Amino acid sequence: MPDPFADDPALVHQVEVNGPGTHVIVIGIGHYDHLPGGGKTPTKHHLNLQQLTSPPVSARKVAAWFIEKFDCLDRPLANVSLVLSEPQRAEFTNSRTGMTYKVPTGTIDEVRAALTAWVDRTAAEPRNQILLYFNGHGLSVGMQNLYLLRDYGKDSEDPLLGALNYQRFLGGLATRTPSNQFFLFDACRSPNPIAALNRDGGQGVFGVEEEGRLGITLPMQQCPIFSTEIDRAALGRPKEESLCARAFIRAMSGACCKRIDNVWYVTTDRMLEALTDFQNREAVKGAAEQRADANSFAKLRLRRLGGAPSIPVFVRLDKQNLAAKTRITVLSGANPPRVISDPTSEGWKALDEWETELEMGQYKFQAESIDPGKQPVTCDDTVYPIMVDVRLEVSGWGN
Amino acid sequence: MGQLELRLDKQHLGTDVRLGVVARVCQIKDADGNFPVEPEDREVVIPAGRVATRSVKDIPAGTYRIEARLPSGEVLRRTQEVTDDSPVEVTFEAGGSPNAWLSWQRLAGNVPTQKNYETWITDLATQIARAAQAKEDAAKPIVVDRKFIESLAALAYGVQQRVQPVFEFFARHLPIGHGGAETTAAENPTTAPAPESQAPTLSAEPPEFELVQANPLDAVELWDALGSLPTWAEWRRKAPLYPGCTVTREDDRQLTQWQIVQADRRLSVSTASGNPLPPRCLVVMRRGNGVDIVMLPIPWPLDANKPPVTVEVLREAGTSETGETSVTVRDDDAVGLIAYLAKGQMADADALLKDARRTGLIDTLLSEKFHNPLAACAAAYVGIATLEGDAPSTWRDWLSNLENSFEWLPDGAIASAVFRLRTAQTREDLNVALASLKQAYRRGVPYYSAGLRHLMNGLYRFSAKDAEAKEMHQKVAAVASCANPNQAFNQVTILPP
Repeated sequence: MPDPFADDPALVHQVEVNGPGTHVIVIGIGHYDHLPGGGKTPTKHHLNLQQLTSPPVSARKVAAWFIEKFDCLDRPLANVSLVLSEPQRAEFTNSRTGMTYKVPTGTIDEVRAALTAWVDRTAAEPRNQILLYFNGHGLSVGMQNLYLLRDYGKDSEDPLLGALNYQRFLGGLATRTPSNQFFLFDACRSPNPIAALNRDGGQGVFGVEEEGRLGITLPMQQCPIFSTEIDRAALGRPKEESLCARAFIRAMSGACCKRIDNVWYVTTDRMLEALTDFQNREAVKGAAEQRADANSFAKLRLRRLGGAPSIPVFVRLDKQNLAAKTRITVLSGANPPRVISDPTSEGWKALDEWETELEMGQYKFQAESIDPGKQPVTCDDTVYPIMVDVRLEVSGWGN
Repeated sequence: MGQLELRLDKQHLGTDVRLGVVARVCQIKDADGNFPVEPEDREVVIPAGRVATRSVKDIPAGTYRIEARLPSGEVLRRTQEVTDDSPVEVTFEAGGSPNAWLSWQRLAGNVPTQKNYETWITDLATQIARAAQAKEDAAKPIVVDRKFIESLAALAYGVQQRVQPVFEFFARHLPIGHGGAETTAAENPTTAPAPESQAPTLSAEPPEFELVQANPLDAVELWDALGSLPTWAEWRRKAPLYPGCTVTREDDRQLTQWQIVQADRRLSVSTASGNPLPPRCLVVMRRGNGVDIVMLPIPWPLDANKPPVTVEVLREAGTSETGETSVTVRDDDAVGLIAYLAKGQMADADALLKDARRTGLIDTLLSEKFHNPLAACAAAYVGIATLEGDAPSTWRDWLSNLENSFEWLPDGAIASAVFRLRTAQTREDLNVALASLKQAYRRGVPYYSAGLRHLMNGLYRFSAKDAEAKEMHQKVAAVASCANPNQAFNQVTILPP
């Protein structure tokens, strides 16, 4: 019996699924061999691009979330592949199995092999769903995008040999078996002369199979989404996940869910809105903005939930310096209160806001001072998609 | 059961826009104040204007959260209690547009409210003041008075997102906190400067704005003409001005708008087959040392017995190289659909389309009556994008009609081809789709951005084995690389290299 993990070094998680499943590939390209600081022959076509630290962190978190949290009654998780470009070949430990894998480093050849294996695994079942998350440098011209891989610039005569050509990539995949195809490109869409002059550059990875979908009754549904608008940068923090990665995890957790025939689904319907809302919650702290964008669209039910969704809830105090004296809880019906922040607990640290996840419903949020003699402050709110911001007015307590 | 009456209040439209914006009506409490076991959750389309409302009937008593989602991406929220006693009216305020003549552009999401920009600039000024206060040697904070903010907002609203990066840069380089956020562009600061060159420019500077006629019998020429400034200049030299419209110009220095009234929709070009074709009308506008070329969506509607619709072209930042160009069709049935299509909010466009189908409008647009094939194409693109499971059986016939009845309309052939490609079962389906794509190419540059993208992708699919498809694909891809993907109607920018 062949070992799928031996055949595909990008594979980090696999489950036997009878029937349609969800096949995930996550690519995070942070280290670029031929950009300044990359350690190999620098390319003259560096475009002033620098090494990145956020994409591998983002990719690890997205992959880990799928392995740990993704469940779907219609298309359960079948496998997760991971490609990480870090200075040294990266290891990834699957938290479910405890297995550690040395994953591919993100050259075009490695990415091609990983992508090919990912799609090959879906060939038997048209109802399969494929899902890709990419994070790295991106260039843009009109309707074309180029995504730079680890060995971008290796060939000084054709630096884009180390890049993915968005249009050709999607064009080839549109002729493959899986009918539900979702892509999230978390990369800058910066205009650049090299993209304008080489709009057909880069590699498509998948050639077109003209008759590849004949006989399949399901319509082809491709839904590519960009983390940012054209001509704009994608935001991230060094050594932390990007705004989009964090937003995507929240969206997939349930924030952009929709009830259809009394069943809750995470759908693409609200994906743009959810990504934009979550990204901007953080982007505005730096006086920036990052709106997700899509030029083409398909209605996909990415995840069928078994019950009600969990919605992100952000709780803050109107006077942050009281956080160390305030215990924050949330109550729902007759259930015991759930603690959101307790400064007397071990390891507590002050935050600007606390994030939690709550099922949809009516809640009472409460702030209690640990100093005696102060009346608790409460706030009633309904938790509903996409998210809820709760502000507890404790400034009346004084200092 | 209770009832809601919903509308979006928008002044100066001159009419009520029946299919205005999409609203979500979510029940958050039942009549007893508890979270419902099965909360009501509906999407409805509400009118924009001064009078008309949308009735949402048969909803259980309780408390509702209602969100109106505007094409601009803004979400207006209201919480409203509903009882069984009497209908409850909920009116969302769209926010005033800075000028009455920008009302349709505001509805289409191309112009923010003056208030939004004032708020943003006030926030920025607050941060500046805080930073100044934080400095020990600062004797007093910076005070930015309201008049200054208003004047800055007036300056800023016009250039919208183009100006936003400038302000972001300004904000980033002030001594103020960013909450730890930084851009990957900070890790990836700038792009290399474009090499200096003796760039070819237009031999004669084009006017700020003109309407140019393209002969539908030579539609293929346009693909080559849009390839570079010299080929464009050569094509333009031979092309006449379009005579069928009257144009009114308005501007407030930051924004310029041209209102285009279709004075004569009977203009036509004779063909050998005896079927007259309407000539194509291109909007040509100066942009720096280059040009913007927009495929103007006229005749709208095609049926000359129905009143003509005014089309607006909005330009930010004069004739400079920056700023957006946007086109809005003042069609109260289609403006919402096209605005959502342009902004990529396809789920909302789909909700609007479903509503149109429910009220029979979609049948009118897509049925064999076809009094407005350009609007029908917008509906077709949304319908194809939001296809789930089995497509309505009538679609194939409708799309075939859209392709075959209008020889001048590339988008009809494209929509038909895309539908066939998505649902192809046989080799013959693929052959028919390819023939439709080639037909579309020969009809010239599509009116819609979605059409250009579909045509490019469709031809690519056959280009490995079909030399003609490959050649066509290359030309389409060249135009697509100069096209603005975030506009509903194709807009190509040709600048010096």
